[in-house]
Amino acid sequence: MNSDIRVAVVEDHESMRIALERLLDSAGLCVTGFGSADEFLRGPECALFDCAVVDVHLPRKNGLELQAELKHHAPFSSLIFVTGHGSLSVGIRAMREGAIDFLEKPIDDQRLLDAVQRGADLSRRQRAAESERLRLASRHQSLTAREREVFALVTKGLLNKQAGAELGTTERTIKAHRARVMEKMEAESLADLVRMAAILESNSG
Amino acid sequence: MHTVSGLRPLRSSRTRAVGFTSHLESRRFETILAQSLAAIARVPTDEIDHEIEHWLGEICLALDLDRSVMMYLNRGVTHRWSRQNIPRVRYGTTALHVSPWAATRILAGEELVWSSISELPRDAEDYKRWLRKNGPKAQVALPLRAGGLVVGGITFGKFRSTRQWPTALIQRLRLVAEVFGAAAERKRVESELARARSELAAASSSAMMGELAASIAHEVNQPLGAILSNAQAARRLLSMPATDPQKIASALNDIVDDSKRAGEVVARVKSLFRGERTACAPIEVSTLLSEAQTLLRSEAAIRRIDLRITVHPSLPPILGDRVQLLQCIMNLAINGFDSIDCAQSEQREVEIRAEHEHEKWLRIAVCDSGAGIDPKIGERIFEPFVTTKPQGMGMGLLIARSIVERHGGKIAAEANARHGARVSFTLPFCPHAIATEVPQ
Repeated sequence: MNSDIRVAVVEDHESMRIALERLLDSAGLCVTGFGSADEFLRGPECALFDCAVVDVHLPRKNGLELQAELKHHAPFSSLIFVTGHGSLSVGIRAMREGAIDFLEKPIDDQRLLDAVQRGADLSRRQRAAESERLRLASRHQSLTAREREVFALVTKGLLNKQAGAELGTTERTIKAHRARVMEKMEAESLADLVRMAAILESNSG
Repeated sequence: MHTVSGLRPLRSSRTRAVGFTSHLESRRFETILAQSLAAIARVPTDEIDHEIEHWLGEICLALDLDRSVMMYLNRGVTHRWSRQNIPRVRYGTTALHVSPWAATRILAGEELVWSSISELPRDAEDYKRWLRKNGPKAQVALPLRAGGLVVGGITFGKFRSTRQWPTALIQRLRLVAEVFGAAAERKRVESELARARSELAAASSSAMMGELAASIAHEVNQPLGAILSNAQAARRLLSMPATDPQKIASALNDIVDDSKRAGEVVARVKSLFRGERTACAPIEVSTLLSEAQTLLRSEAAIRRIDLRITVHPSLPPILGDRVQLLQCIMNLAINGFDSIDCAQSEQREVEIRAEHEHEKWLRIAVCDSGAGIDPKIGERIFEPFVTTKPQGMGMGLLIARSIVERHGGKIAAEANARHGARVSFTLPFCPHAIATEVPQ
């Protein structure tokens, strides 16, 4: 498995935590253990983990509360819950809130590692998408007001002539603006530009 | 025959003699009557049945009667006496077996008094048939009452001949019915209470068993989970080309440790149940509380309650039944948990403290940060079915109290210093331990 996957183990039973750390380490992952929800959430690297393996029944702040708080601290970390008592209602709630898996102790190693892999993949995809969106947003920021109007119209599928009519200018002016938009947005084709518009739009909230 | 149903007799009796058949009979009967009423009134519950039958016999002998029976609507015949050679009635025989006619009359509160079968009315055909086959030639049947309701009847019969029933005699037999009936009722109520109490204890201990089982499962599952993960890690490490053997060794060491831990849990559970019947043995307070902690830990974790155990050092051992004391401590702690849930307290803490109350006494206190005790309930909290919890049975503290009192201690509940409740109990230290270990 990919050794640059960073995994957190949050478990209050020390022997269980060490065992899980050792297991994940033996699979070539980069593991850090935490004894409580707060220790994990307040750690400086909290947002850097690709995946966290969390015991549901942590004292003081339990796994579900950790999940809710983590959404603010690190929205792109995946969670895998482990539990000593299989409680269906807790499991359903955790999964509905976006957990990758809900595993009962004793835990099968392959199922855990598969879940970690899936969680890490998901986190990384989400993070890549987010950084792409941020990059595009900053490029979009560099456009002039008129260029943004042209960007909006041509990515909606309007021809230069139609966009010119819309903005009350000539087709030639539009063509010039459009070339600068393509350049500033680093788009290779109109199709590329349309994809960027979709990303900016979908995640603009 | 005459029936005395409050006011109106069905048919007037031909046998309304006022006195007894003889002066001698009267004196003998008065003596027996006084003795029997005194004896029945003060007899302990477990001897009531025997005593009632004995005095039914004495009364019959004094009056030269042959058989007396007490029977109840729901249980049939419960007490009986009969002279030798006179047919006995089987226990459990109900009045309806004998005669629906007679049963109906008695239940309506009537008294059936007759000196010969021929006095019985025409509609008593079923009764007459039964009497001709099995029964007496003259009889008095009076209703037995409990709480103002007729619950059964008592009969006095003569088999060898007919006889007269003077009014004075009937009055005295009424007194017998009242006192003997009350005694039988006392016995019934007490045995029913005892049954309810033992059912309750069984129910509560089976609920406790459920909690125990969940705790045990959790406690064993923890090391088991760690063992599996360590073993799987070791297997992975072995399959890799260049592995540090030290890593595998430490995985194996942890497996050994966790296996021991799981074994300890199992041993503890076994010892918990082995000691069930041995009533009194010296117990180390710290051991007792750490066992309680083990049993409560997972429940506390699930309910996100901070459970703290504080044991004052140098406490001498106590004398008692470990399982019962554990049940008592668990009842109090779970009560604390419930109270915290109930109050939805911000602070979620339960502390169990053990300290000296006195040179010879230990005090164990369970303090919670829950809702506290309603001052309106106060000390009644230890009574059955008194509860502050919406789903509570009101039994937890009652059971705790009975355990503490069985150990010679006292239990008390009070408001905690800042919030919640503090329930504490005292237990005597082991007598010879105190001699050697004086508290500092």
